[in-house]
Amino acid sequence: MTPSDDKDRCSGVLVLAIAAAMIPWSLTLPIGTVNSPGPGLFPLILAVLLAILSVGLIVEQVRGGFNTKLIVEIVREEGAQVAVFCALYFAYALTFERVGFLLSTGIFLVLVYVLVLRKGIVAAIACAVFVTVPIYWIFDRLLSVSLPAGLLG
Amino acid sequence: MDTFSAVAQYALVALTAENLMFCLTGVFIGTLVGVLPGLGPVGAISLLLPVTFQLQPASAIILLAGIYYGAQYGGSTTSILIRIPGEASSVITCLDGYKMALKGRAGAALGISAIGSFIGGTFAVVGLMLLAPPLSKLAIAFGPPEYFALLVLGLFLLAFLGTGSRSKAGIMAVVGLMIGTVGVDMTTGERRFTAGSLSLMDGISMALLAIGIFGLGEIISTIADRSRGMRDVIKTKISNLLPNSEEWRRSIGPIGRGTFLGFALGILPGGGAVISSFASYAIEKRRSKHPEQFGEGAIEGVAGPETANNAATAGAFIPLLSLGLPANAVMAILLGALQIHGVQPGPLFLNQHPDLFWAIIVSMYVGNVMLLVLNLPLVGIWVQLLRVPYDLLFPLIITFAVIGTFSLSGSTADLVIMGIAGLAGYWFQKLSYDPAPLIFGVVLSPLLENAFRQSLILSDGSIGIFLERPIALTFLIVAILSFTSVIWWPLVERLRATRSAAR
Repeated sequence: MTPSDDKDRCSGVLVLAIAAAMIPWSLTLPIGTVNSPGPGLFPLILAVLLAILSVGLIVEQVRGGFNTKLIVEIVREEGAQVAVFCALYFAYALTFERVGFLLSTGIFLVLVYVLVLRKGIVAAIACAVFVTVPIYWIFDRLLSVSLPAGLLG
Repeated sequence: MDTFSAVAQYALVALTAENLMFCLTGVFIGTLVGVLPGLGPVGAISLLLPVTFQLQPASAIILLAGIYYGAQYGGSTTSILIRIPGEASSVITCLDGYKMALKGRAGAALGISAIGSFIGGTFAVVGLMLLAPPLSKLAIAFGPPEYFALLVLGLFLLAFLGTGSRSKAGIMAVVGLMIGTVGVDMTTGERRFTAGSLSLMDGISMALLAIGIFGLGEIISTIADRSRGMRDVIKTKISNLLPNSEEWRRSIGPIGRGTFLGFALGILPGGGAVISSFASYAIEKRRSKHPEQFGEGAIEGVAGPETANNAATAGAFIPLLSLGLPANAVMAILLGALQIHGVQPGPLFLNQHPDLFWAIIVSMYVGNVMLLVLNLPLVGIWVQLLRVPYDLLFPLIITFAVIGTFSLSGSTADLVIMGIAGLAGYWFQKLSYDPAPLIFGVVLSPLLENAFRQSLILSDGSIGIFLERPIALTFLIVAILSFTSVIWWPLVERLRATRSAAR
């Protein structure tokens, strides 16, 4: 079994699960008749097609037996970095409007530099200010793209 | 009106000071993203897409198209100088371009790459100019069944010619089509897959997905694997950008062949710049009297692929502008951009928007000249840019992604969806799923569903309508043959081998 086989089988199972969920969800919509198709017909066809393709992907590598070792390896090697980054990003996204562009972006970048990229706090603050302030000025003031002022407004 | 009168009449649209500035900005950004590994033209175009919503359609497309073909020029610089392709289509240039640089011929490699790109790009635009109008005329006769079959063919060809597993490409295309069904059904007003969320009523924006998958996804991948951001620029003096007479002699043939090959492959969905550059390299190596020099610094291995990938970018505009069928992810985003501006590319595009059609073509001529000037005399500046650490680039990309997303609808929910798309983009890379068919699916989903439903209504519910109409049937047969070739082609090969053994 090659590494890609393992990943393909795992992702094939995931896609099959998505297809299995989408079929009943599509059936909740009116399917209509063949000469007057309803809004559920096209998604239903797609969900069935997705199920067939995912089974095909799983069957392509069926001989190797199922194991999730490679996915676990990816998660072990990169998972912490990705998880911290994503947590910071989603916190940033959810507070973006309330806190405002300048503050939320600045804090987000400083935290990414320090917690994810392991940079010193001074360099992190310098880089964050170097990026955030000119971009705010260009977009908000020069290009009139309205960015939330938030707590500074 | 003939082609040349039309060019003369509408050229002025592309040649206004404003559009020339957008063209220059586009090719400049294109060269920049081509030079800097980490963010390709798809990501850059996605990030800038929201900015173009305020522009005139012609200016928006001139800017975005400039990024696309500009990136093909810039991509070769990193391949030659640091052996890291700025663009997937420049991967093959690493082999001989970098070896030429090590031998002190970096200038000649960069020079022939820029000149080949210019020739390939310019001649392919002539091909686009001559081929797109008759193809549009032919496609005007298409009804919903033909259009449905054409879109299916496009999706199948993308899976057939694209890189990687066909099953995975098929899965991505279907997932994209499913995402495209989210929101209010335009025919019945029924809400589909919105889970009660108001922000999903208008569907999931293609721009949002593209920014997340190609922009944020790339950032997450690079943060997770820090070695990807590291670059070691070759310490060689870049001089004599013009190749010597022997190098010229060896490059003319590859440039000529690369132009035709790139243009032809660029037209096919899924073909495009990457395949054409590999195909050109393979052809040049096979034709060469000294194939052993390939991989050791043969200038043919730079001239051919670099010409082909640029010619392919112009070729890719033919199915988009004449049939409304995007040939790759960039074209799918451009199709989405035009739709946002209320313009639907396709058979009627040339008649309804001749100014826009010819403005795009004329801007590509102008853009190719601008790129030659940007890439030859200014190559030193691009080399310096390679020394900018990735740690300074990624915050810029994230900030652009966030501003771009927020400016779409001013909604925090969009930022969250973009984050989810970014995480998905990271996993697509890890699991080797090409995201291009997904974007394709999202853009084509409403068109495909409309054509499908209209066909069934036309035929009073008979699926036979797709088999009774010759053009639709031909498209569907080609689609099925291409997708299933993985099954029947080995059987044909085996049969052939058995027959020749029996003889």
